[in-house]
Amino acid sequence: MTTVIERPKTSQQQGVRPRMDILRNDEGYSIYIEIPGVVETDLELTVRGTMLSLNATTEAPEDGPERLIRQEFKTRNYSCSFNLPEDVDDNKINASLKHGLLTLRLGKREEALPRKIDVNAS
Amino acid sequence: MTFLANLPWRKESPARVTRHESDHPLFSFHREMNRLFDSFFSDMSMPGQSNGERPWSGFSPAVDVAETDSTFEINAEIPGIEADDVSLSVHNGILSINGELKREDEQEDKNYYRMERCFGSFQRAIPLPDSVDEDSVDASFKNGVLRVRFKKTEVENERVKRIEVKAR
Repeated sequence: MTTVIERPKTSQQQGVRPRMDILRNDEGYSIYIEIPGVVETDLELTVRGTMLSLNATTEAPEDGPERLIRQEFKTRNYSCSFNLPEDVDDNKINASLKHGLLTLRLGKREEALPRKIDVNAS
Repeated sequence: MTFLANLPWRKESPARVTRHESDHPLFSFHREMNRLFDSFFSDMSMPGQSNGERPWSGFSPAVDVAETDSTFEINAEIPGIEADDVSLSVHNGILSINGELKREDEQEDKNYYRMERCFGSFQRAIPLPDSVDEDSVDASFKNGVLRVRFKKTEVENERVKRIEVKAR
């Protein structure tokens, strides 16, 4: 008897949380999320209240008489959601996708930004 | 040998959906090949392997390997890399994927909230079956997925040498 790996159907799969890096700087936050195989049109980013959600589907593999010999890709669906930090301005969220890497730039609210205080000579 | 020893086929056990196929010689060949490589590499103790995430200074990208009657295809997940930073080579029937993934924000090292991604040099070696034509290869990189597709040689069956049995 031989074991053949069956490619799971995209629709049957639960989304898996992608790997990500989150960094903070003075102006806000940078989030890098690895979603290889995803094109912009199959990526959905939503903000509800303070909750940011990501849902993404990779392109369906071409149909054919293909036999999988080895499968290590965890998923064909990605999903994750997290609470935005309180000092993030909803209107200052910028997202870009390149080479399967989603970059989110979250800007801080005006009042959370560092303010320079002028010192008057007296 | 030392080069190969650093290239585990299996980093972790992926969840697999399996089914049983009839005992086609081609399937049993692949099963045998996988078993050989899995057992070979499982004997290699690798320093730092226990933490799972960063086995050594580099990492090895996840691969899918699939074939049809006429092609042999390898897909590797390398999100965030430029095509120029990946190099491919075939030597002694082994496809090597090498490269280096650079961090986007080098200077912000100390402000990490969460660090899950792998950076640095990576390598992966995939043994190719004999039926693959190493000269007819096509590689492309799209959305963070590297695809390497080989054509198979059509003369595979001609390699079977018939031996005549003489009656005495």
